[in-house]
Amino acid sequence: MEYIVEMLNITKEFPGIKANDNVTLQLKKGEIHALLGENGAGKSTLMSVLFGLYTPEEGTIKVRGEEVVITNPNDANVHGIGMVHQHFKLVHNFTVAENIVLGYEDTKFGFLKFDDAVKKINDLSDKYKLKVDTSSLISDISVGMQQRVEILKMLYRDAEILIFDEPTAVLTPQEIEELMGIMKDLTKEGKSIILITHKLNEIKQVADRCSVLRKGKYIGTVEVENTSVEKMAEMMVGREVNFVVDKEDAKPKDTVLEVKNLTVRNHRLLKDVVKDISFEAKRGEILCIAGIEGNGQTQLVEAITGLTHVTSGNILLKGNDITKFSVREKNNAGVSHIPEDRHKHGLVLDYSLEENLILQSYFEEKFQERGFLRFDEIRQHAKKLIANFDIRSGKGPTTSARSMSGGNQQKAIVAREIDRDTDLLIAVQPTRGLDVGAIEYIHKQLIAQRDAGKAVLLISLELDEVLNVSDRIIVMYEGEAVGEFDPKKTNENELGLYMAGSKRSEA
Amino acid sequence: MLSFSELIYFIVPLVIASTVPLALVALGALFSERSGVVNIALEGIMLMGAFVGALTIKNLEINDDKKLLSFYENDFVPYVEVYVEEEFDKTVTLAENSFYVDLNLTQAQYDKMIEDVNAHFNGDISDQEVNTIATSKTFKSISDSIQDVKTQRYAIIGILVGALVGIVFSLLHAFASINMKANQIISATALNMFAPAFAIFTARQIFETQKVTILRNYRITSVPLLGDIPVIGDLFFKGAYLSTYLGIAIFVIAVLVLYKTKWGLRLRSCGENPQAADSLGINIYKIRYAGVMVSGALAGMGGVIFVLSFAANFNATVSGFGFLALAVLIFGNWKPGRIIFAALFFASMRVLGSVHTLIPFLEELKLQPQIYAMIPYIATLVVLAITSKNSAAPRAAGEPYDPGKR
Ligand SMILES: Nc1ncnc2c1ncn2[C@@H]1O[C@H](COP(=O)(O)OP(=O)(O)OP(=O)(O)O)[C@@H](O)[C@H]1O
Ligand SMILES: [Mg+2]
Repeated sequence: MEYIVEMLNITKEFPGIKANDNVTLQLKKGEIHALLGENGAGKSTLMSVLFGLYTPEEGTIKVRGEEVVITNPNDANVHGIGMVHQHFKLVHNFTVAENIVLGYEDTKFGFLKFDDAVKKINDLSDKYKLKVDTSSLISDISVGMQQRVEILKMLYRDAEILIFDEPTAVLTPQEIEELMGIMKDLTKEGKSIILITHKLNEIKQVADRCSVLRKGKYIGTVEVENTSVEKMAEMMVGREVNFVVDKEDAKPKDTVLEVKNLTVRNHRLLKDVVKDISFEAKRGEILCIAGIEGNGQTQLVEAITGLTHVTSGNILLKGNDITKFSVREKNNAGVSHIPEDRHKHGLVLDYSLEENLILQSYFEEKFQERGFLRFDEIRQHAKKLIANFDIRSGKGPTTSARSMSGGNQQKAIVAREIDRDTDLLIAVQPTRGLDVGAIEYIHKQLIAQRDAGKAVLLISLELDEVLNVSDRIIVMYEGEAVGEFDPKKTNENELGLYMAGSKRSEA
Repeated sequence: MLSFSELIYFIVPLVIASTVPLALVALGALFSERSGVVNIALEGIMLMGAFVGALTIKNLEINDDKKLLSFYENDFVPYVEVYVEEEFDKTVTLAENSFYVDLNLTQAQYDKMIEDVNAHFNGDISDQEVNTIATSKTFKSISDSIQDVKTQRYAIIGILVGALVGIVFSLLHAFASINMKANQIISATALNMFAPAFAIFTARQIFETQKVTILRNYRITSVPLLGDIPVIGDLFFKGAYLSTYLGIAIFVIAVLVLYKTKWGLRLRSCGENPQAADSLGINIYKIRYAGVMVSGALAGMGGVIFVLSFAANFNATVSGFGFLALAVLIFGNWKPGRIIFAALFFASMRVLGSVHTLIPFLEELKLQPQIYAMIPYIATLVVLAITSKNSAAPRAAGEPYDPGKR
């Protein structure tokens, strides 16, 4: 018995799109098998089929050599298949322990038996170094811990076949290191893992083999050891991918955005999350705010874009004080914003793609007439952006945003914001969760915006991106700006020290 | 004017009596919403439960009275007449509704008569009942005292019937909102509009009036033993209703089910994150059906309890208790413990509104009675406006479950 799981000739259709078209995936026992593909290639769909969330139109699944029918997660569970979903499936107001036992509870006289469960969880968490606090509420713990809870959920059910759908997209570099270690330990215990990730170096680091999907079709499977990163990227995108960003030196001109002594206080935590920050962003440059997640970058951007109140200090756009402007006034004054949380601030998930593309401009002459929307214009506008920015979806302008793959949702937002053609573009982690092709594309767009004479403010957690794309770097630590750098004269180590707070330059 | 302690002894049982149906129905709403279905049909469900429950109780009463009457006329009266004549050589004629005859017996004779009558009817009717009949002065008081025994049984039957009706009626809401993925507010509103119409129509068909009148009084004068405890007995165990205690017991059981059982854990997950529950192999549809059915059962019971405690003349309304229960749910922040307090609060407001004449400082305000009656509803508005800011409403409540949603 060579393969523990075989998915043979799987086809799964959604309205208007074949998400999986005759796909085959074979997983060996004890291996880490990477699944690679562009955004919307159908990776999550394929895994949802294996996990019983979707029923395929065609194809067969074999587990341990025997053909099985998996119609719901219970079946998957019975066959020892567990999955960590791309968007975590946790109940926010349950404790860690409750989330882990949910659906797999032990009872005595009908009442829940929690003591045994907690003991089992603690044993597992010691064994695999998955530190969790069983009595905390999910809403109170970090994303990293939430992920450990998801992993424990699988282990608690004694799953042998573990699916990780983009586990690293939301983790800090340290957490990613840890996760890689944990996955290796798990395979040593005889578990088999399918890993979906867009980060090719992670595949290089842990995976044994890698299968590639492109636009729903199966492209091939390679041994990771003998395959270069470039080769994998090419298989996935269908063309060569440029990992180094070509760009000319910046030619900064006049100031667009000026932030003066900005302070933002969080009234719930009773502390200043942004402390007395000042900087300028000029036309023709990409200014990057770097830092580890949670050091005030989010609040800084929210203050500039009007999502949070400014406690003190001023924000000037082209010399005008916009500190007290409403969000719409700021938008109209010339601020574009690619938000960090695309579901919360970027899209209305239940609106169609075309509606999402006019969220900030529906009231403009172009799209309305005496209070009525001009649907033809809206459709034309959407078609133009879809073509220019290569936004892929099942039904074009009328696709609901919710059904689009994460990467294409992001492209839609980028398209909308860039199309608004404002003087200031704020991009917060614009490439989170995107495939290498899309990342390349978005980086090019940012540089094109810069070259078109706009000021670009980039907030990023990824050091690669920070060093490659930006023209000037400010590092934030605990709400303060602790240093300013020229990307050509610094390196990851130096930035890392500042980001961790162990060094700071006195301004 | 009542003294202060008399006032308290008067008000507290009233407050408790209105707290229980409120809390029970709010708990029903909690079950439904925590499973993910918003159920504003509670008013209608309560009303249906109350209506059919009241009908059932009334029927039982009528049957009972009929039996009693026929027993009295066909067996008891003839026998006693003959007995008295043979035994004491006296002629008596016992007429319907005026069973007052001075038999002029000595105590010894009287005791003998009781014994003999008892012996004769043994098996047909209990000792106690014969005794009551024999010693009663009028027919009315006979039936009054006998009913005490059977009455509480009728109340319980009524409550169970109410629960059953509530379940059946709530299934309509469950079907519309779970299977058909209909808008839950509209489906519930339809039920709310249907219920009173149905009650009025049916009552008219049967009684030629829309009122359903329960004749007997289901109040327990004093609970044995517990009622004798000083202060506590006066406050909690006198002049109360069995249904009140039953309601409290059911509330406790329901809370245990919700928080201590596997089913409760699953139910709560379905209202927060059904996608997560589904990915763990939990059947969302089943759980939601169950949640709505529990809410139907509790609301139906609540309706009957409402009738027993406040509306002997049930007139196709539960006075907005179902809606008030929703306010209690929200004010109680979807948590059973806080629901009790919220229910107590609203119940107190209601009682204050209705007994204002007895409370010196309220009476001195000399407002129109309608204004006092408005107190609970105004309090609802104010309290909700203040408290609904940080609400812990179940996140997925009100949304039909869509497995394709990501
Ligand atoms: N529930 C759904 N309804 C309609 N279309 C869907 C649904 N789920 C996925 N799709 C479509 O199927 C395609 C594949 O989506 P899938 O989520 O599998 O992509 P993916 O490879 O996981 O991408 P990403 O890397 O962005 O997560 C996409 O075009 C998406 O729009
Ligand atoms: Mg995916």
